[in-house]
Amino acid sequence: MGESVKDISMLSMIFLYLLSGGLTLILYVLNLGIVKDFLTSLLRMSVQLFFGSIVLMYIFKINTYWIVLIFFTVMTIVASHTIIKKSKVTGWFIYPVIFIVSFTMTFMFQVVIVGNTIWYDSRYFITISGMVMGNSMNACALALERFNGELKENGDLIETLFSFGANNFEAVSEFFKRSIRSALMPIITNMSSVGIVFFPGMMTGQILAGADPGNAVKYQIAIMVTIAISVVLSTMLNLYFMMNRHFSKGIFKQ
Amino acid sequence: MLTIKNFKIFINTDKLIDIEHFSFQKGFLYSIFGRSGIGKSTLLKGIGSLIEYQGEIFFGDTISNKNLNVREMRKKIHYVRQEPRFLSGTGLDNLKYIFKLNENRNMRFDEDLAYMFADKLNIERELFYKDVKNLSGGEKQRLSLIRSLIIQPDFILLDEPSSALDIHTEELLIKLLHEIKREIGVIVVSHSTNFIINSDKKLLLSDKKINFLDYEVNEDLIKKIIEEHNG
Repeated sequence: MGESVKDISMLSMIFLYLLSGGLTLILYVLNLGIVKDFLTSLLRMSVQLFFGSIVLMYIFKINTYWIVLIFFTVMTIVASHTIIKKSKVTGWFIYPVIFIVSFTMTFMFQVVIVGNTIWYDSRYFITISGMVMGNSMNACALALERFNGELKENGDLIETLFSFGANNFEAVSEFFKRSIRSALMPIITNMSSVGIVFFPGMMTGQILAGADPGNAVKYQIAIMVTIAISVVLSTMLNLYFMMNRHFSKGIFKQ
Repeated sequence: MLTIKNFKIFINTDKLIDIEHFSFQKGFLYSIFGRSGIGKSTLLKGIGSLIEYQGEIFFGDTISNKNLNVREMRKKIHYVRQEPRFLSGTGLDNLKYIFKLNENRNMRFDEDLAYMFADKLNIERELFYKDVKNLSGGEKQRLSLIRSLIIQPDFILLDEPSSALDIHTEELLIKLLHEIKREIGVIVVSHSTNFIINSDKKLLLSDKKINFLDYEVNEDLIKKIIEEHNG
């Protein structure tokens, strides 16, 4: 990796928070009504990242499969909880779906793509699974909310299709497709503009850390494909289980 | 023949329908009437296997909901909504779509049959090529009926099929239903006195049951009967 990233001094950090204070003042004067949200988010970000860095330091140091699994499970719980909160749906199935899909895809990235012999190597596993899970989380929240909304609105159409002999999936497939499409849009847009409009965080980080841009690009492509697959798999599975909750004994329940 | 036995429908915990035994025969046009909110649509949707019910629906002598899957039941005893719903696309897209469903893979879309029904209901063929969202309420209602007739159910359950039709078109609809009733049994829920008077069997839904009226009725009498059973 060559030379390492230049450290940011404590003084610079204080300067950054002063800038954030200035930004808060502007938001307040403009009366945008988001001062409170901004400050809470700023605080959350700072605290979470501060503790995150300490936790990561310890995990990297211990670097055993069980500490990685424990941390991964905590990540799953938080991500699934966020999906439930954002999409306002309930369903225990979200937890295993997020766990299994994120785990499998990170494992694939780690072992098959990168060729790391230690699958739980925490420096890779925690960071990569975080990116995979974070993207799946946003996509699932979006897809589930959309899907539930569509089903609530279109109960009469679903009933009509049922009256013609449609099975459960056929009756909701239109809304299934729409929801997956809406969940996939952000990642597709990202893929098409990456490298021109913006350089993603992972690639930027690697380049800053002194990595060869060619290598950073390969990682970026690998992670984007991995994320796309995870997004599709996790939304499809979650929507499938959600769909079944709307039916009992073959009858549609809004 | 379509027979319902020990047929009960609960909405939440209220028992809305409780019918011990009733048989519908092909060859008759049945009309079901009664005051609003008594559960006429609920009854039809129940018989059409679209909502939960208790009891048995016999189809012929031996086949019932116990040995026929629900998708088959819904096609054979087929419910048609008062306010039709369509997928996006043209009328023809919507008619064809039905035959793409897995359950209907052995059936073929018979365009001539669709046009035949369209002619009888005074629908121009061009209408099939229009986007359904540009159709009027009456056009949608007739298109929806055509969509249901071309799957050739054994019994068709029509929920207020003439609510968006003018009196002339309603007459055409009644005429068509009398023509098909030997092949496709017809059960209609209607508020239209004209419809009720022109049906073969008049059934009053009251007190959770179907009551067969075995006497001649006219418009005033129908109104009086509905009022009497109010509350």
